[in-house]
Amino acid sequence: MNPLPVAPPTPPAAAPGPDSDPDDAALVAAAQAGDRAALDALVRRHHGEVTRLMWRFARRRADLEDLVQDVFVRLVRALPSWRAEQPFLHWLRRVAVNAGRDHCRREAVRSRWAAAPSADPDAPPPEAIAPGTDPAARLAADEAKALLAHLPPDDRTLLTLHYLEGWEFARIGELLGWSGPATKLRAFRARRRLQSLLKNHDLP
Amino acid sequence: MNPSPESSDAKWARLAASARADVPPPLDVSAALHAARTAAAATPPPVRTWLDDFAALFATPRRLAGCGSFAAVALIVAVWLANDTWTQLEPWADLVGSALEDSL
Repeated sequence: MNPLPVAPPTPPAAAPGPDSDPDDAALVAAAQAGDRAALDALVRRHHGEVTRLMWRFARRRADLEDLVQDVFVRLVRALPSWRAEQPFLHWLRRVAVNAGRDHCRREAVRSRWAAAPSADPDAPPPEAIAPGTDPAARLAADEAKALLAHLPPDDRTLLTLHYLEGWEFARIGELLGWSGPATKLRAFRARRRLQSLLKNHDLP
Repeated sequence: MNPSPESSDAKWARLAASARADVPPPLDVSAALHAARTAAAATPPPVRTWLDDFAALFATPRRLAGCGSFAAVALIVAVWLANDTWTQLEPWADLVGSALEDSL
């Protein structure tokens, strides 16, 4: 059995915002002190990045909206625990990735307990393609997300971030709080599960 | 008939590469702002006490410096206390010393 490509063919997507923006630290400090305007500025500044990341997990606009709001609610609740020693964007990504993993868990539970529909179970109506969006990319993303949705939640999170976001396994493991060996083992198992899944799916 | 693993892997790699180019549908930031404001209103602003500052001293990057400072302060206080109360401690020290000599 040939292994799946370990690293995505293209390098990891560069972060659109700097990881250690000094303005972020000032804004977070103000937001921690109760400054609502600073909190608004933080949300506005990182809304795009969070939306982009959460879209890797969601397949419908409604799910995406819920996920993005969930991330910012978690952000507000966890804000007191943020320390200036860690880059804010890195910390925010950790919050977002955990929200994405919880979304995968909820979907796994839902699919387990929901009555099996007669049609294809992993086929929500595809999101309307906005002008300017590459239709082929949208269809490919939908197909890939549908396939990954068959995996256990942790595997789905790991492979979603690796293949769709382009992150290294080590980086994902660090964000999810896994040790290096545990991440390698999970990645090996997840890729093996994906491989057996691919055998039973006829990809276009 | 199942496709061969090689072709499946190649197809998956191509699919993932294409999927990475997908961009999310545009979202209005106002919903996220509303969610954040509501959560902030429900969360009381934290009160930072000296205990938080003390705990921050031992955060990862400052752990060594914090431990060193704490040990130095503790040593200075111990030496100062011992020096200050030496007149009361001296007879006890003599007693312990002579007891040790006798036992040896």
